[in-house]
Amino acid sequence: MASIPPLGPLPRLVSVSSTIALELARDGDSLADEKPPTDPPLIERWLAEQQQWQRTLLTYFDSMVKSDEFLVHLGNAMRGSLLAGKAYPTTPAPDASAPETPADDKLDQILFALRQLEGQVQDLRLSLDELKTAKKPKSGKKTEPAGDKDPQ
Amino acid sequence: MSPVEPEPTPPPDQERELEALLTLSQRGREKLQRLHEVLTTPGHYGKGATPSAVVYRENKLRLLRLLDASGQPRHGPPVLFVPAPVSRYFIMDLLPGRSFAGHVAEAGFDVYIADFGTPTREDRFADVTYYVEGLVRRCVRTVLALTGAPQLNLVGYCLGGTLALLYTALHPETVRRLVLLTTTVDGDVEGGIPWVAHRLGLAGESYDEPRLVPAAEVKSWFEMLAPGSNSLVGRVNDLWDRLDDAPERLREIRTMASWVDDVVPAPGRLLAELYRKLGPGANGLMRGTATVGDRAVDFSAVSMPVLSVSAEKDTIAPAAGVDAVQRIVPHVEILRLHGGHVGIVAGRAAAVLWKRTVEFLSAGGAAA
Repeated sequence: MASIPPLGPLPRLVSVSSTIALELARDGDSLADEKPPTDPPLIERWLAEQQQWQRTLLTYFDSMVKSDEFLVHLGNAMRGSLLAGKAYPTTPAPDASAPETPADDKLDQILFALRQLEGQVQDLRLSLDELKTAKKPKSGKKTEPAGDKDPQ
Repeated sequence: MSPVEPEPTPPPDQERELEALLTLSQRGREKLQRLHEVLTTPGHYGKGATPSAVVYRENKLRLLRLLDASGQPRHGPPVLFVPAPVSRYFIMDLLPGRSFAGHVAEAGFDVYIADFGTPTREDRFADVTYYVEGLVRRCVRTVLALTGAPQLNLVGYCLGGTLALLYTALHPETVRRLVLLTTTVDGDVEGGIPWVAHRLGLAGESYDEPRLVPAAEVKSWFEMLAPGSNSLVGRVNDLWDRLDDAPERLREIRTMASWVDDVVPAPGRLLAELYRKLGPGANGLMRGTATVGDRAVDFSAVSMPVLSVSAEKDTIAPAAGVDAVQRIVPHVEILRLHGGHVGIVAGRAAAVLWKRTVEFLSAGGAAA
């Protein structure tokens, strides 16, 4: 996922604060040497915090615009889940749970019967393979292809 | 009058409140930044960790064979993992370095995992026979054909353990050793998923006119067993608290959440049959009345070594209902571990189970 470009220089207030500190030092104020540096004033920290919030929200908006997947993940997080890759399971809309028509039901039964037939054909194929193997003279353990690589 | 007026300073009380609010704001923002980082960092979510090859397909099922680092299959004794068909398979192979199946493979076994996939509408007609005598049996046949071994080791998890136990009782000649992980055998033991599902309406599931039970409904049964997870507010609060954790820890949580929250729809006929034959009241496994299709299940045929593992804090399959297997298979070795239903298999303390499983599978000579 592409990230947003850097947001430019530090907040202006920080620079102002540094400038004031430098000027104070130039005026011969020796306090700077005696005391450890203090935090910027509260108001400045609040303004800096506000800018940090703006940056944070911008990164969210940026990701939302650039990636539909991020929207799904954010939706999951708003449901309290870090589930990745798909939406958090929710109850289907009323239309989706409407009772199926008899025609749909028949079609599904036929489809499932075909699935069962598929299994029986596989059984037959396995039986034929076993017969073939039984006829061959034994020569140690079988070597076989690894199969189709799972792309994961 | 001074040319520069000093900024008005808030009174001390107000300043303290503003300081506290600022800290609160910073913490909230940092949590959102961590959440953004976790949501945008690619990770090992929703898939197996170990390289694998698909060696058999049927309907939605894929039989995966784990490969070694060079992409080649191993040639040790075969082990078939059977996960629950109502959840995703990759809990057995969660993360590099935290994979149960991967650990067994590293120990020299030729490991296979049955991935039952996601059922669709027509699969609502699938029953116990379809799974046990169909999918599981053909997975076993495929493994035996590929390896040339006369027997394999079976490892069943949760409902996958129930399928593995039923299969083993019907075809004991093909099973060398059997491992049952958090598999409920005594349906009358209160608590756990069968009872919650019973109270939430599983009793009304129709065998003759089954529906595809939506994933959200299956999930609601699990949520009822995990306090805090069955309400939106509870879940969001929990996640918000967790966002104090380091991003690495949050990514681990995300990996687990990608399994826990990714349940699949369930074939209504399978659930109805399991409930009517093995669930509360019927308790067919304990009473010896269980059948698969027309065949009665006889547990005296289960004469090979069996290891049954329960978890002390298991709310999905209470340990008492799991350990009860000793009453139908007296020679079974019972192992009760600290932890919960998922934690003992893929949590931080899962190494105890992995080590014991490898020892058990290796005992009596490695050859199948």
